[in-house]
Amino acid sequence: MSQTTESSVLLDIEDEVQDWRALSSLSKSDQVIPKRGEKDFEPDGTDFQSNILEESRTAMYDALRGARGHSSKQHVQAVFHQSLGLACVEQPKGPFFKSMGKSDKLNVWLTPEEVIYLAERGSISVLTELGLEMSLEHLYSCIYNEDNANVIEQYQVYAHLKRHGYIVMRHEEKAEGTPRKHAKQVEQSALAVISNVWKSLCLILFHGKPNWGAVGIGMVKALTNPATALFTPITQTSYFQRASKAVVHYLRQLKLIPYPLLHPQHYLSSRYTSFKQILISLRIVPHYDLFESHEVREKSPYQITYNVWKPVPSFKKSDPPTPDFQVCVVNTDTTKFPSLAEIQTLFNTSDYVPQSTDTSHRGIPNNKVDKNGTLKKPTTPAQKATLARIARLRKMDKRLKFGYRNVILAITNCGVINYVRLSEVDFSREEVYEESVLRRGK
Amino acid sequence: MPAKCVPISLLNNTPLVFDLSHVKQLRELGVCGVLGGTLPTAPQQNVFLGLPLQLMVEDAMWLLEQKHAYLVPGRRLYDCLAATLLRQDILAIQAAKQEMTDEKTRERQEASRKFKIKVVELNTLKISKSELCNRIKQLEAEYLGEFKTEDLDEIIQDNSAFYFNNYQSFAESFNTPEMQHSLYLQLLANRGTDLVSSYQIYRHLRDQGYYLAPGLRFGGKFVAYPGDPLRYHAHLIVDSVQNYAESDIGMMSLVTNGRLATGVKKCWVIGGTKNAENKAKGEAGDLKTVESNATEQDVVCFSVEWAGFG
Repeated sequence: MSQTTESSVLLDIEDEVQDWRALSSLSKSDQVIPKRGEKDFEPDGTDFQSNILEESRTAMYDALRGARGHSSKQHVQAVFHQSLGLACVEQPKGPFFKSMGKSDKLNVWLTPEEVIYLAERGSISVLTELGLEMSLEHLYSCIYNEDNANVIEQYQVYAHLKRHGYIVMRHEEKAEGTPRKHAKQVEQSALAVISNVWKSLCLILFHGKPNWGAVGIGMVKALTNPATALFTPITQTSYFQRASKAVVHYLRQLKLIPYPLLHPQHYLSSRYTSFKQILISLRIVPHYDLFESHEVREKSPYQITYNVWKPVPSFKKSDPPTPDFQVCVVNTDTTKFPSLAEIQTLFNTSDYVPQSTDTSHRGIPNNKVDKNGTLKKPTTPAQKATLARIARLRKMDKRLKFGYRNVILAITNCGVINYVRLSEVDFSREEVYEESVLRRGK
Repeated sequence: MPAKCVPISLLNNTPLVFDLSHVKQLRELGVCGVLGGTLPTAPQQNVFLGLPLQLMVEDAMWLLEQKHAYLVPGRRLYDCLAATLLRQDILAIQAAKQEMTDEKTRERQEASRKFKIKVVELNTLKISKSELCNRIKQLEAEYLGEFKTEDLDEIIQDNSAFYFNNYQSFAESFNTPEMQHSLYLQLLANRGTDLVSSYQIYRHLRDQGYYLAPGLRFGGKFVAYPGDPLRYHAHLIVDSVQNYAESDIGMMSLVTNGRLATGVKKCWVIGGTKNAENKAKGEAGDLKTVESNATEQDVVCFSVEWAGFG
């Protein structure tokens, strides 16, 4: 990104058509991407202008004519198997195969995207099964896939990210992962219903905290889950309700349990011993748990297409770590604005490493340097505690800013790609009030 | 000699051009498209990209309407070509290819032999070291210059013409009215309903000499350049409405688009048709009517600029 002087708007260098004359300097020696070329406002009919234009065009055509090829020492040949839709490399050589292709015992198999990308940059030559070399057009025609209307767009995003140096692999659904999750979910929900009902009762009775959202959710859950059908007759009888009401009323008058939060008598009848309790009692906006929904829509146009990693030397394609980014490719022509369910589907299919919310002392920035340039280590427990607090707050800020789960939308339109990040933030999970303040309040 | 029709390769519903000569031809016509492939000479950057050239649907529609181009089904063309090749054809192609590489190797060997002899000769002369270096560099340029890119065994470049000698004739065999019609429908498949209006405004601006490019980067349907985008900055950010008299653009979008365009030193242009009766729906079948009707329909454009006082 560069701040252009003429418009004071942030513009990406990729956003504007560049002057191809700058490319000759780029490809010859140093790999420096040129600054935005100077352009004219409009044609003025001068030879001067038309000559420059002609030069730019010639430079462009020359660059486009550039040979696709590679040194014979690094010659790699692939055979494209039309029926499999994969290309087979018998003697893989070079750095590309560290992060591309799938190897079985004998060969490396490349997906159509990988083949086209490598062929396009001139790093491999591809043959048909008959032994003929394939032209670029032929290769492109081979990724055509009736089930996937967006193959070309997906390839463009793939190549764009690869050219930026990222490691990109197609996202595959983990086959065993889903059912396991589901079983756990069922088990959880039965437990959760009981605990929800219990929690809400406790809250009403003992804390005077009318978390009506939670109560409502608990009730709805209890009613919709057959496991708790047994309890419903008891909880719903008017006798039980009337009796409990009477008891609560009597206890309140004895000042044994407080009035609800918004009741005028509340602060007279309830007792708070810390700020934290007050702050917790003020949570009156209902909220739901981020990880509550496990909905996955099979037919959603919003599906994760690629897993993307920053290039690291230790990357192993056989055992890739959790991706740094996950990209979903959509096309402006065919895709509508996503619904909530579609966004949830995206998040629920994304890979997520639970970030620790602990307050342990690991990862505390020790970068305080005093005047002499020596590293100042925290000595007193108070200092240590301050640093720990800062670290914890930073982590929390990061979580709130970038969310728990992230998916990047690559929105394409006629070969133009825009990246947008969707992230999921849950403010209700974070305790934004500081502990030290709370401690003082005790 | 009139220029030949350009074959546009259709993959799914994406129109692509793979041949450089065709790219040139289209540029002369004012259709620039978007280059999307990796440039083999500079493969690790995204500023300058190479073949293939992707066209907008409107580009393709206009070229077809003006009879500058015809559509070719990418996949089927190659299936057909492969099916017609006989065993001996393949052998002949491979032999020719081998011949070519052998020839190149021989030439290179010859050149490097001559170069070595000269270097040995130089060493016998009594000259300073820096002088010697310079002389060797000169010789290098003289003898090995054309083989600098030596071990590029040019494998993939432009070989469609090389082995599929009959590519052109095959491609032209798809240039029949029936075939073109079904391909045209394929081109329009899965497009938004605003295609009719966007095509009308596309053509309207083309007729005025504007070069058009996709407008996603500037929040519009198109951006319009006064000449070749290589040399000139864009002037307009273009959006379209079906029927300008009835469609509600909304004051909000009037302001936001106007401000955005003015902010990047451009002008927001919104256009639509005057004639309320011709409400084509943009369905694939209806576009036949567009081709015949659109010329009579008057397109009206409004330009919006943000007038910031003070």
